[in-house]
Amino acid sequence: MNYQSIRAAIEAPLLTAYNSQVPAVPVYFDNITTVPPDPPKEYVRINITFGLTTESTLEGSLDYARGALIVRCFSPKGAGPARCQQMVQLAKQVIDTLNATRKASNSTYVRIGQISGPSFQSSEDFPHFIGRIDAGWQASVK
Amino acid sequence: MASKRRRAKRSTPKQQTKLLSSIARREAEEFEAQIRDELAGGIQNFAVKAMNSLAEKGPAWTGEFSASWGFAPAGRTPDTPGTTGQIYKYTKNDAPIRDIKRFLKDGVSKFNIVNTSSHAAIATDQEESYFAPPKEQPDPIKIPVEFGTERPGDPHLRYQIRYREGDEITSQITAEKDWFTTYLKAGGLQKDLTTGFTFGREVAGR
Repeated sequence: MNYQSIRAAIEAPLLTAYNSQVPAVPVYFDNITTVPPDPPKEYVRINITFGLTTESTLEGSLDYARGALIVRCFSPKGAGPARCQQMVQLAKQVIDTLNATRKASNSTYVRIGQISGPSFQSSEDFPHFIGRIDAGWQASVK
Repeated sequence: MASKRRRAKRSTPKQQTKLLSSIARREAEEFEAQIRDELAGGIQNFAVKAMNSLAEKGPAWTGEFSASWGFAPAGRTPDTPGTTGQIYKYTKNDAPIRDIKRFLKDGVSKFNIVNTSSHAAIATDQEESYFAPPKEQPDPIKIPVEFGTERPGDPHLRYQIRYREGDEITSQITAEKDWFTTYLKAGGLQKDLTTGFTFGREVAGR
């Protein structure tokens, strides 16, 4: 099992999508920084966690990794939910594209499951309006 | 003297139909009760297993959050132990099988496992907040998974701690980042569900 290739298969298209925005939306992944040092007006945090690496099935133990993807979009507060929803929508589109990608014989194959959310949060003293979606993923590496 | 023979009275087709339908009804009721028993056993085992997993995987500083998981039919607020001082260990008493059977018989088809703690959304990394160790208990009951030297001044998520070499350790977290979503979506819940129902079936089959 190649954990790095799984992570890259999920992170890379999300990073490309947010970087292609004008202006580009900063994206923070795991172990880059816990909190952006000087939080920009809008940014995205993407966390990928791993759950199971092998799974027992009727055919034996299979090399199917499972995990969760959590995308949090931080947008300017007091400007309505539109921008935050656009940012969440972008992540959703990337997931759709990823799920429509055909299985190649020698690559990492990732499928992202049911998406929960978006849920939004904007409390009185919080600096951002936050939109969050999460989903489980399953991957196999050939 | 000719013996009197009693001849069995033959039932009429109408009586036979009535008898057969009552046997079929009784068998259907027995089958339904058996299914309900097996289902209730599986639900109970799964509920206990899932609540223990959540209590173990989640953050535990005083132990109150770990003891705030409860099992109840949808729409009802469960009673929770709410104890402190240890990571609570759930038993079958926290999801009584008699109640589950009764709810199933009443047509309840959805049960929830909920956390009744006031800071549940913060502890499950759904909401931002400010964090400070309780004065009466500066150290957590659970071994921390990460240490930090500072937290941001603004509201932030539970796991967002910074570490700066040489500075004093002032913050710690006792559960992995996004532990709750990982349990739900990354196979933990499914594993507990499978184990719970397999065990329930074995118990019911004895």
